[in-house]
Amino acid sequence: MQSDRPLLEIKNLKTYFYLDEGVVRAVDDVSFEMDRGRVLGVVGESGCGKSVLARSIMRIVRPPGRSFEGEIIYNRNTENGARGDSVDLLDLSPDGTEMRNIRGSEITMVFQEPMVSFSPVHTVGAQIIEGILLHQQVTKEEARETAIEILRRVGIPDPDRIVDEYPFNLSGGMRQRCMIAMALSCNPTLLIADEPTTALDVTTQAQILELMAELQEDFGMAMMLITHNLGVVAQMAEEMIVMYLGKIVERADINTLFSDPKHPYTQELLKSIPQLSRSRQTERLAAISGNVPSPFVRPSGCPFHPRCPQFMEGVCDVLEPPQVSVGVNHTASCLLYADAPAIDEESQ
Amino acid sequence: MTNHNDSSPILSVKDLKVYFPIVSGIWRKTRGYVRAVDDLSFQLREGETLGLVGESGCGKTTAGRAILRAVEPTAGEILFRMRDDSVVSTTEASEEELTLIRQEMQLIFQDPFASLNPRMTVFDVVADPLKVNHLARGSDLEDQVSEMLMRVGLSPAYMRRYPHAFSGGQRQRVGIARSLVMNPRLVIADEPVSALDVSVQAQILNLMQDLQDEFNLTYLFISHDLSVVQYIAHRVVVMYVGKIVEIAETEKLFTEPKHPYTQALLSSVPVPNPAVRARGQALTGEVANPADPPSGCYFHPRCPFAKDICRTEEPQLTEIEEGQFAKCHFAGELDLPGVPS
Amino acid sequence: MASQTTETTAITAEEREYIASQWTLVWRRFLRHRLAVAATIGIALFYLIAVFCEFFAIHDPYAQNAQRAFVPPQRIHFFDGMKPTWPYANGLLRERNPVTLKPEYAPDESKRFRVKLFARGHEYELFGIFDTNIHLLGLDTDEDPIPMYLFGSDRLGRDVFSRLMYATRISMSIGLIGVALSLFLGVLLGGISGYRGGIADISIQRFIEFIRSIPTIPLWLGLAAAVPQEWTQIQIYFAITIIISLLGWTTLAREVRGRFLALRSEDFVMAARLYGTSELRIIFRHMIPSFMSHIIATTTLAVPAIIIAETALSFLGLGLRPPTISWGTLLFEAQNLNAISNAPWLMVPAPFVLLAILAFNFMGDGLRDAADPYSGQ
Repeated sequence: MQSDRPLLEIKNLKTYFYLDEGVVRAVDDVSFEMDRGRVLGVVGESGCGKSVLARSIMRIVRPPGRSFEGEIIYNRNTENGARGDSVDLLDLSPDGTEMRNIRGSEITMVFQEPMVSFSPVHTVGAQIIEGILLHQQVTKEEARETAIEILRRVGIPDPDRIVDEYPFNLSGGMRQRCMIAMALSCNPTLLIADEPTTALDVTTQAQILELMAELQEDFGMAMMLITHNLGVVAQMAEEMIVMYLGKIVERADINTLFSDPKHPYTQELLKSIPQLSRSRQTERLAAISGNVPSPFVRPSGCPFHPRCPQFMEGVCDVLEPPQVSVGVNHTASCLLYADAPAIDEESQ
Repeated sequence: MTNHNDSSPILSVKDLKVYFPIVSGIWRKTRGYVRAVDDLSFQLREGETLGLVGESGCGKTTAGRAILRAVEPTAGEILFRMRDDSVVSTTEASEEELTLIRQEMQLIFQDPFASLNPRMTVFDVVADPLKVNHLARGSDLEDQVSEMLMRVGLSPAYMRRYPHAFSGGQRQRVGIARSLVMNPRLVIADEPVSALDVSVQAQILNLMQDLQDEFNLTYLFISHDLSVVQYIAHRVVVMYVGKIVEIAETEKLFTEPKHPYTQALLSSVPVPNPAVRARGQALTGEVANPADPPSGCYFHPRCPFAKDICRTEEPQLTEIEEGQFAKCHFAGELDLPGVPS
Repeated sequence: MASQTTETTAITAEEREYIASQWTLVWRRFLRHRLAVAATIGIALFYLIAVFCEFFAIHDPYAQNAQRAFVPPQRIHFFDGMKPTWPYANGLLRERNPVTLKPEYAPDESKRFRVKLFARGHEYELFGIFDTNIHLLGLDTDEDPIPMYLFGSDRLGRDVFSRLMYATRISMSIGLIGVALSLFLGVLLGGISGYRGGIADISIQRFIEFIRSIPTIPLWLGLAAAVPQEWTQIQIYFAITIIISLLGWTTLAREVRGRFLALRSEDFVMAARLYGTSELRIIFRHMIPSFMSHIIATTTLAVPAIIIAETALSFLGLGLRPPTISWGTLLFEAQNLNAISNAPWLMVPAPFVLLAILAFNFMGDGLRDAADPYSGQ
């Protein structure tokens, strides 16, 4: 069924923000691929560029931000699953018809705060229906039926009634369900979820995560899950990217990344989080020293070098680490592995 | 466990209630009450860290603020044992007495961006409590402030900077310095790490533990993050819709919880280990509305073990095992697994 | 002890940024707003004129001369043929049109008077203390009155340019004094309303709503008409200022109240309260500095409204009255069609008003954008 080309190929993508204070390299030379039907976790701290990456793919980066270099190649499948056409999203006009047709139907997004993603003056149903009408050739009645059906599917109790509710009448969890319903209403091939559960309570978060995992399997779409929560990504993703200051520092399948992290940042990050366990942790947490630098004063060389416990003077602060292969489907950008074979675009 | 002074508690809260009236109309008629905190009772031993856990809206923040009288309690009694071993009631204290009590009882805020006045230098922020209370002046003031800054891991060379020069973690250190500069004995920490980056949380948690050892501080650590609480707290109080549902030693609570809600919280935390994937554990339903709580046990609409009695009769907080209290009709009978292994 | 952190200390350019106070940050942000900076320079010029209007004036603004009625604006020559030269003006020839019998003026090509800077002219008192007769511009001639009418003259032969200079003083100062009064009332009542809350808040808010619900123009008209005829110019001036500002404080009061309400629940204010800061110190040390810049911006935006109000009232003949010279009373002269068709230069104050209003608005916009240097960081 599946064609041999990945769903999304991102090559050397750069999205910078040109501010009065200086240039913020929010996404800096990022390359990766996304396969069809897989869940990719993108993990990083605030300011690492994970949200901007998502917005770059959706082409909704607002000035003064601009994606100005690289490629975002989106490989469609035809109806019967054979290889379809390919399009570089970066070549499309962000507000043009073609991008608008892709955005919201083939590639959709779920945001952290569903309250701001919904218009407060329209009912939830009206907004889902509008999306369906925009992308599909159906009548208004059919669209409403679809909307109710999809609301039922995301676990909204009494969807016939909720469809006519305003977003502010719903709880945070319910709103996020509606948001997911809207994102799924056009059967996307890729769902980008940007911190979908960060604003929610733990018990609600568990519900939403469970729902998303289930829907992902049922709908078979690819999912890009952006989060700062290592627990969430461990529970949901099959592959994982770790970002730091606009760069991908490590990439591997989820089990490898958690059991055998190669990049010092990933290693330290995993050590520093307190974990629930049956026996209480009594020794100190291994904290990463220092702070995430201000985006305007980016360290030279490897951006992590001022905080890195394995910092090599004269190397890490001078050379930009290349992306190298450190295992099967496992890459890291670290000068500790400078001898490992470099990744060029074709061999990945 | 660390050794506590078990003689008499530093803080004891009895039947604390904080109700907020719901007013409407131009005549501001009271239509009902949001029971933010309802019948809260617990004790804090000197030198311990008590975790106060619950989801948003469960009243944990309000409880913390009511203890400091930053929010007026509706009813109940809060007794605080001062440095000189005299026991004062914060609920009945006058403004002057409160000023003295608050020198020994301080708050650490969640949001390090909102909690520092952006128009004051770090020096002014940390020095202000000393100045306001006439505790130090001149070069002594300067010395105390730089000493405090060093203790929280900031260079006194940064003293003349404004908060905008600092990252979240550093600002939180400044906030901690301000809370500790008057040498308090009880610190109420309201989600002190939840607004911080993952890589910085551990620093602040370690710092708080170091400071606790150094100054023999007692913490009331309010958090929604169970893994953080497990790491830092000696005992844990779990709240649901304004009420305590369970109190226990940390180890007990995480391995042998007695209340189904505690269990639900524990199994809801996404484990940062892809090998342990829990599915089908999530609770159904939503957190009850504190303005219109359900009958009987507030948790019954979501509880997988709910029986008829739960819908009609409110359970009492009873001691199930030594030092472990739960508010559940079936607390003794249920066999709950605790943290998934 | 905390063993981690403590970064290396280095005094760099960033350090300056880190130790920059609120006002430095506001100033820097403001400087980025080019239009606002230009507007500020414009406003400074206006006030320079207002302060030294006698010096900028060429003629005595009250001096009438029947022989010089309706002189059109005069040309200053910078070229002699094609050759640049020291600016000069020609003399004035007055003739009566034989058909319409109206006086007509033509340049007297035979006379050339060089423009003089810091020329001596009519006597005046600078700041009411120094007697002097130095003026910025004059002509190298002994003719009296000197034949220099940059913006022409009115029906009584008074120099419009000089009158405009004097009008700037009155109109711009009404804006300033009026806004100061509004500010005082606004901060006081808004502060009480926002800080005390409860009954005080409700009654002040209802009062503001009541005032705002009254249509302004008729109210102004009514109040202005109540000003006794026999009052002196100064009395009328202050009466009008008070009338205008009495109605203008409501916006400011609401702004201040809003800020107080927002700040009352700020964490840093609660922190201050919890370590024992007195209410007064909270207000002056924490709250007022936090909204000072916003108040300045709002105040700046309130000035043009007051200037317009004065101009409008005086234009209708209900505000200031001649012989007081303000933009409004000058425009009053240009009220009838006859005047406009015969002497369109009497409209010259209008672009001045426009410029001043725009300048205040642009400056206010710039200030408002710069007022919170901590947003968006």
